[in-house]
Amino acid sequence: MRALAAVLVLLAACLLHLRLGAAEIPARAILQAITAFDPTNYAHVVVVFQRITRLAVAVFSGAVLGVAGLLLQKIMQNGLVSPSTLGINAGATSFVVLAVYFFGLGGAALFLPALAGGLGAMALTFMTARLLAGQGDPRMNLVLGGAMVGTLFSSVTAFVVALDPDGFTNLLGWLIGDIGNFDYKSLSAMAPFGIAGLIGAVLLSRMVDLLAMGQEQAAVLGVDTRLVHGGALLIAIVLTVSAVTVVGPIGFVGLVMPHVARLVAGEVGLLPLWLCLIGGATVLTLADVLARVLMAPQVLNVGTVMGLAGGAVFLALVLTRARGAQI
Amino acid sequence: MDNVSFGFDGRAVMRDLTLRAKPGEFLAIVGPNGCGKSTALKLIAGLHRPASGVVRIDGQDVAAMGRARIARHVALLTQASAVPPNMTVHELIAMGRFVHQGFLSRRSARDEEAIAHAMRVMDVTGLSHRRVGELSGGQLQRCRMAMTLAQDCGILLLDEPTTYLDLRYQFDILETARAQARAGAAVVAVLHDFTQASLYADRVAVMHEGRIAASGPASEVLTEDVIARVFGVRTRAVHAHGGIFHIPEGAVR
Repeated sequence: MRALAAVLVLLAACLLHLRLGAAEIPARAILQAITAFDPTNYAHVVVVFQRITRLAVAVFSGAVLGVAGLLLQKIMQNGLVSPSTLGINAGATSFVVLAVYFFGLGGAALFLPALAGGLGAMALTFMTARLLAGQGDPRMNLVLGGAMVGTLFSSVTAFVVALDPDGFTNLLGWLIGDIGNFDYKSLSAMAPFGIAGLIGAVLLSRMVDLLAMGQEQAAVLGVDTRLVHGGALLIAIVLTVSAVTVVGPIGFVGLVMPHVARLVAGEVGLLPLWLCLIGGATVLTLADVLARVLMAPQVLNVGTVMGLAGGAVFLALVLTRARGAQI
Repeated sequence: MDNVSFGFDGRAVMRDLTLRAKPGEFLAIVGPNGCGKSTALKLIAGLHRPASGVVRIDGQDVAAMGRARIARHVALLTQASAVPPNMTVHELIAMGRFVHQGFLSRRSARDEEAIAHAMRVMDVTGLSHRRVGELSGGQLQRCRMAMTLAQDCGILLLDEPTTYLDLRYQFDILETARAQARAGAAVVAVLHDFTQASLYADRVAVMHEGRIAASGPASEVLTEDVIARVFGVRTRAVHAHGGIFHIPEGAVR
């Protein structure tokens, strides 16, 4: 039931996405554009070449980021970790910028440097958190480490961009997190990685449920914790990077969706995973609708909208947590 | 385990420890804090690898066994674990069945039967649909014990299973542990109460600084002399009602 309801909400968001924009297009014209495409009809062209492609990018990126966040939060038993708060987004971004500057790479070829950046950032975050070991809450230390690493990589990105401002004008939107009209090209290259990651997440989900009880407990119950922890971490990073390569560093989806899924579906089984997948897609689709509608005909970066909306939700989350801790 | 040594960061915790547990026997380990009791259980469960010596289960070297194979033989009730508060009691206890399930298969009728049985034994059937975060400490501990029982292993290790529990539930857990031993399991429990150890265990091992200081039936092991030597406390031992009660008189000078 809840799984189905989530899908219906996503479908509604998709319809909204196709209808709204600089010009509103009626549902019937959308249907016609899909069933009987007429290249001379302006509305049809907008629906197929601008909105459906954008929609596909939003759905894909939101879904993989939602699932990546869930995996990270479960294996680290930490509700504050996510691709953005661990610095994975920032690491991938700055390695992409470096690859563009030094090697002139573009498109799908950016996946490899992005992956290297994501893995490197994760390793740095773990090392930073280890330096802080013994002081304060280790889970907070991990998030602190992630914040420091994120800042570090953001500065690297800014530095490289400053070396050649003109060369990076095309990437400026991507740097904030943006869905462009041509992103569907890199989407088709990234989709296999994303889908492989999602299948991996489903296969590991039961063992990840056990890891959420702590590594020692999971080992006692028969889980090869090193293998599963490492595997789930790698999957989360691949998922994140497959989205970052397409849309840039978009935060908060991976942070907030797991909490929503937990509230709706609890901790165990495939339903929370499914809700993160569908919910992440819905949230990013709606963010893209807002990005196109808020200042129409100007289009905002979807990363900006996510930052504003997600920041507000995150603040509310932290405040309720803090209040809960006081009681 | 034979002549097992083990340490953390160069600090020896275990020195040539030899310990045997037999099927059908309830073995209690007592000893002061930091003497290596919990570490001994973790070595048996393969969570630590011995620096030297061998840990064997049914004659097989634990170091050569994978996690899943160990988990089919050994269940360990750890001192504490962070159970996600949104999990239901049924979901928690079902975690004990993980190692009996196929990679993709769902819970079988046998799994459900084992879960239901464990819940009956620990008297938590009524809590089945409650969330773990709503439980009292005692309820949670009984549910974790039920999870350990649902794992259905021949070797049951209990690390301070009665700590922080109301007296009634302490005895519930000890009685369950003894019943498991009577049904053929090898039960090893770290306890801190001499009286409970003397009442329930078939054999008591007293650990001191990573070694076994004394081992045997409670009446031979839990003597005034051993307690003074190991715990540094002068006591008067009283034998009554089948148990041994140590009445403290003060620190050894």
